Amino acid sequence: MNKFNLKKNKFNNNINNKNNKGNKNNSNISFDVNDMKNNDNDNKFNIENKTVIGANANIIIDANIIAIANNGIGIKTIAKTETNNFSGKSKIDLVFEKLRVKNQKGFIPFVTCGYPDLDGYKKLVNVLEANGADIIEIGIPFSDPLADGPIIQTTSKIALDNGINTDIVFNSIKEIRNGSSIPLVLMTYFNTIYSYGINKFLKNAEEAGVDGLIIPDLPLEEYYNCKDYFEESKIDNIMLASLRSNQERLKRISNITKGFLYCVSVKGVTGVRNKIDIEVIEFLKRLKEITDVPLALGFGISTISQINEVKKYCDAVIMGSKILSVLLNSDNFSNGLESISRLVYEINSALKS
Amino acid sequence: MKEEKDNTILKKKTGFDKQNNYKNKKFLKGYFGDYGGRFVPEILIGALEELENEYKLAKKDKQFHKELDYYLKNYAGRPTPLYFAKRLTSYLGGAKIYLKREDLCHLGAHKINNTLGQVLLAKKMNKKNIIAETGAGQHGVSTAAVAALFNMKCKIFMGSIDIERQHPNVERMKLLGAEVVEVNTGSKTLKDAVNEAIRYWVSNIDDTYYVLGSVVGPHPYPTMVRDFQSVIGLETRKQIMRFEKRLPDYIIACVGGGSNSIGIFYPFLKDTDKVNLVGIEAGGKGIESGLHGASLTSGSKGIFQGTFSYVLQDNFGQIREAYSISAGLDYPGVGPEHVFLRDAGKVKYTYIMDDEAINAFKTLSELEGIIPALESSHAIAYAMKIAPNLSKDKVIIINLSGRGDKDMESVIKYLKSN
Repeated sequence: MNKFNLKKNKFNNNINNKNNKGNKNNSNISFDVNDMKNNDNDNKFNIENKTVIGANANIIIDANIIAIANNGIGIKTIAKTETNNFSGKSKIDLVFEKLRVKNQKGFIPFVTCGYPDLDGYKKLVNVLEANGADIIEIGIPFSDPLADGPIIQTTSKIALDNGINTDIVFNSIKEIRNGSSIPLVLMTYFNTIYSYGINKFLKNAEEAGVDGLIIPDLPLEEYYNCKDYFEESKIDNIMLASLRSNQERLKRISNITKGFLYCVSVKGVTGVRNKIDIEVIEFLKRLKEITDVPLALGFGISTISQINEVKKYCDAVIMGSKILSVLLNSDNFSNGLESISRLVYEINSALKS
Repeated sequence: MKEEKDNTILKKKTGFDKQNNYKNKKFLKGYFGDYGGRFVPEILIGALEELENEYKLAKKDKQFHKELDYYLKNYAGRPTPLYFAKRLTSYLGGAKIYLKREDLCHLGAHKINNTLGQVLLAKKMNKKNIIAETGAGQHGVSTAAVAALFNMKCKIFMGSIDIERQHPNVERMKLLGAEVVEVNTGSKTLKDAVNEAIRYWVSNIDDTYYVLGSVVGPHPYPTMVRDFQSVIGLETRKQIMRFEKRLPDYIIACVGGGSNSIGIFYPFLKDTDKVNLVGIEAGGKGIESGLHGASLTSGSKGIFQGTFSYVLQDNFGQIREAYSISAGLDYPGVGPEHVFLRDAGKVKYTYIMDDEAINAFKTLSELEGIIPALESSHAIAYAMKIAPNLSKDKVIIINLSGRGDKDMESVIKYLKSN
């Protein structure tokens, strides 16, 4: 923890120094993003129908977006895609359908709403989309994140200190929705939903444009207790499967989950790791035997070599701590975004080839 | 139209009624009325089921009970006395006051009752590593000691603020061979120690046993810890029948997570027409100040650390930091069974503030030569409030859950600054 706090302080100092030198627009916000804006003063992202592509440059700064453009892979035309939802398929279902047709794997990055600040998080979401993310997972920060390691604990704490609450999360999603139709999945601990009112939460989330929900502390038995809420909602409730779940339990979980199944790749909490346990491949194979539901592997996925090892056995990978750690460790926000663009681009290339 | 739709959902749903109350379902285990449950990451489910099954077997296993009884008697020093506090009684001038002397247990608190039970269970399950959280340090010390006794590796998670205010206990744990892991997240107290212990457990699930120290957390812990602690109430019942030939009028115990209180209350639950059971929470610097640990008094329903109970939280469900001069009561949650007992009208819960607890701490020391733990001082303070107004034939039992040696520094510091 201390280490991360120190990092954060360092981060602020650097930015402030920099701003003192050149930028008159200095504010008290920890992460000043003005220096990466060219001409767009509006907070709203003006990215509709804009192709992010560069002639031969590697990095493009277009409005608020940094995208890596190279060889045509990973370049996305960001446009409001058609959302006509036929045959009861959710937007998440359609994403996986398309990926399967192309024989590609999905990439699901995770961000904490309100980290590094509200504005920065929205920009981060846009950068992730521009560089090829298929679905974006947004964490509602919680005071006691039991399933999270030090990195997401840190980003959650910063977000809460920034004053983030559930209403602000929904508003931010509405704003993101103004310029994007990428499927958005909320990750939140159950108390956040319960205290808001389960019904009200699902309704407001749906209105804001949320497509899916991941609740790490609502296992099967507790889910049954309030399943009617979820079944009435259009939002996909995404269940988690663990290496320790037995086959019978995995069957029940895969029958209930919607959109995809969140396969937890470690016996542990979220965080940066370098290896894939041999058990994980067996686990994914076991799951493939019993279900057709798309499998997304998350927790501890940090490197391209890990991804190359597992991609054959799953339909998508989820990456959170690694991405956020890049931002935590950068000396300023725009450099952080740049590194993330590069990372996401590389990951996506690995998944799409 | 919209409202109609909402009502249909409400009628159809099984878990929560209109007032957001959790309904008990037959297939759900580990619920106390609406409260309890198992709100944990999927990876823990297997481990908790395994623990539940082992515990069920152990409960029926005569050999297990024989072994536990042996250690309770010869290692922990049970039964602990029920002591008539003559000078305190005459000083207050009302009801007769008895103290259940859990402070005389080996290591100075009731925690050993639970620790012995759980570590014996861990041994049965062939687990090699023991972990535990601790607030005041009493549960940590007793886990460290029992781990030493059974030659097991032991890690204790403790918030850095608690490490500072309960320093003697940190040294004791180290001497007993445990590794003390400093927790610097969140409020740096008991709740964060529990979080960190759970995270460690998740990461080392195959060979590690988590000795949870109170009647909180996911099922089966609230039930299991209560069972191991009810030895306090069972003894008390026999002892008071011997001394007074009748049941007491009041039993008073402090409530943080709620293990010593449920331990003494549980064997009296069928007698609540005669016996008033009173749980005392930490009022800290006053409920209005927001600086307290009174989850039942001023908290609300919520899901915290694996269980559905009462918790101190803001409007968006973020857990608030608790406060109390006593580290053992400095916790924003409470055991789910306590909420059930309160709602069922079986137990009354109220609170005592820091200064009243300090006064009780001094009074008992001066009158009886017994230095109580700051946690237990909350129960004594409440008895001091009600005893003078009760007639001399009434009987009060206070659960003196621990001794106060560990609190000397905190008390001296408090007295200097107030």
